[in-house]
Amino acid sequence: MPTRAPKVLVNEVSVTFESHGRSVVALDRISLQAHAGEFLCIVGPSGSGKSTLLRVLAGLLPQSAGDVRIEADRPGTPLTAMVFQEHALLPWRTVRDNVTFGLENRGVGRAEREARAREMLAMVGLTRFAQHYPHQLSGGMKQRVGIARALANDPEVLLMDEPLAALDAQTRTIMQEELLRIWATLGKTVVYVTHSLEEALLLGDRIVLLTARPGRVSQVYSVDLGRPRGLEVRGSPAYGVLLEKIWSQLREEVVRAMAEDRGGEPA
Amino acid sequence: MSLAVPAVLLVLWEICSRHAIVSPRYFPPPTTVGWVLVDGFAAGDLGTQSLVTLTRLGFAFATAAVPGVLLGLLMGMARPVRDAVEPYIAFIFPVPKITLLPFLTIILGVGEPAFVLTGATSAFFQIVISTLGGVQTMDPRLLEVGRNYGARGARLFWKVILPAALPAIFTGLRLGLGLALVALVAVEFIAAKSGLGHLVYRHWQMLSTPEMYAAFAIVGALGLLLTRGLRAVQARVLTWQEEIGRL
Repeated sequence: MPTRAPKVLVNEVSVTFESHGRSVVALDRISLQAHAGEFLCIVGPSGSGKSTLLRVLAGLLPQSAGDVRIEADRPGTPLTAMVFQEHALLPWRTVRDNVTFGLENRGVGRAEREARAREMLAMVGLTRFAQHYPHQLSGGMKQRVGIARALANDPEVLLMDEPLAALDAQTRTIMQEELLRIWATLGKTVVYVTHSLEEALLLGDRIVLLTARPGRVSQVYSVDLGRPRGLEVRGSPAYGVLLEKIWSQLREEVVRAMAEDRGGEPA
Repeated sequence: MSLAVPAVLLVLWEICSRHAIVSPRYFPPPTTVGWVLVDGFAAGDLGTQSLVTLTRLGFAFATAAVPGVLLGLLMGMARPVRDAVEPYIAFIFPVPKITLLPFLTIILGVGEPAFVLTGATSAFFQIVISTLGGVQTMDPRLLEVGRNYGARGARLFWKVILPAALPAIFTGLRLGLGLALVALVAVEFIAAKSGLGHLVYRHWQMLSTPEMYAAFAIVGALGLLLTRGLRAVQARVLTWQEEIGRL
């Protein structure tokens, strides 16, 4: 485990939306921390506000109450860079120009931008596709570009919003291994939202379980499965025990969320 | 196939007309129309009249395109502007713009400004509506990408919003160009003493049907060439687009 210095501090954060004249509480007094270099996974049933929390961290959505602090120890680098669900690449930019988008906006010179793009594309294995447009790539390749774009921006904290959810099972497995490799190489602090407990157990140092709407922190679990971790971890007894333990809790939340959906307004 | 069907139809028409199965007076054989076209262009008159219509179209399109795109973008980005302007656009858009001609001639007199403006308004509303649609239907996550990756204010506009809206803007320009041509030919038919629309009108009055069909053919060819041309420009500029819809 790297240093225990807190990197992300979320203190009593609430988010309330106005929807059809009624206020809906999406997040209810969430408090959590991510340490420097930690891979923190956030898991919860649909509607638990996982993505909302990530958007608050990214500064894309103001919280209604509470505060968020991200410790910046390198001036000039952005606080966060987000890897979006279904990639969200800019379709009019080539792969390389998507990767350098953040650097360009920060006024980094062309030579340095291109060097950084080459480095990141090599890391995600897309060197040959630098001049392609997103529509010429497969889903898995697009998401690799999304990851390279975030890494190229060299943020203090990497935010990932279900980045692999839209991929097929095999591609997802490959990408999980890639992510582990990249994270081990760069040692970034990662806040990773997923609805897959298996994914969280494979990737995370800790797992924060959120409750059904309104999202609250239900439990925080340490994933003591050792590092480096690979797919074989899924065969270990400790994995099974932890999966069972977290699932029994998550299951309750999922059932509660479903009941609420049925009891609430029809969609 | 796209060439075979019209070719067969033309041959059928030719035969029917030559053997007086249909009245050659109302449906002159295509070859006769063809010779009228050749002679007309050789004598210079058809070329001149086409140029008159094209010039009007050029002015009308230029007058409509810049303000149309600007207003559409502004409406797309600024809610108050959209709320203030949209009812008027919705009200005027479905009105055939040829009905504005009497109003414009009262203000501007019968002449080129009134003709060109009638064509321009026709294109303008289409361009505004398409551009607005382009901004409104853009993937909202791309805005989040822009903001999360440090593009704010003018940068967000130039780097994210405008490129995202560009395909719709091109579609608007293409449809607008077509609509301007429609309105201008109608204007020429009714009020102008020159241009292809006027040719159709004059030869209809004299029942010189081959000349009338010849003018028809030029209008159709102009529309086809211009929209195809704009599509080619679009394909050039927007190389990143997956596919550009046909027609």
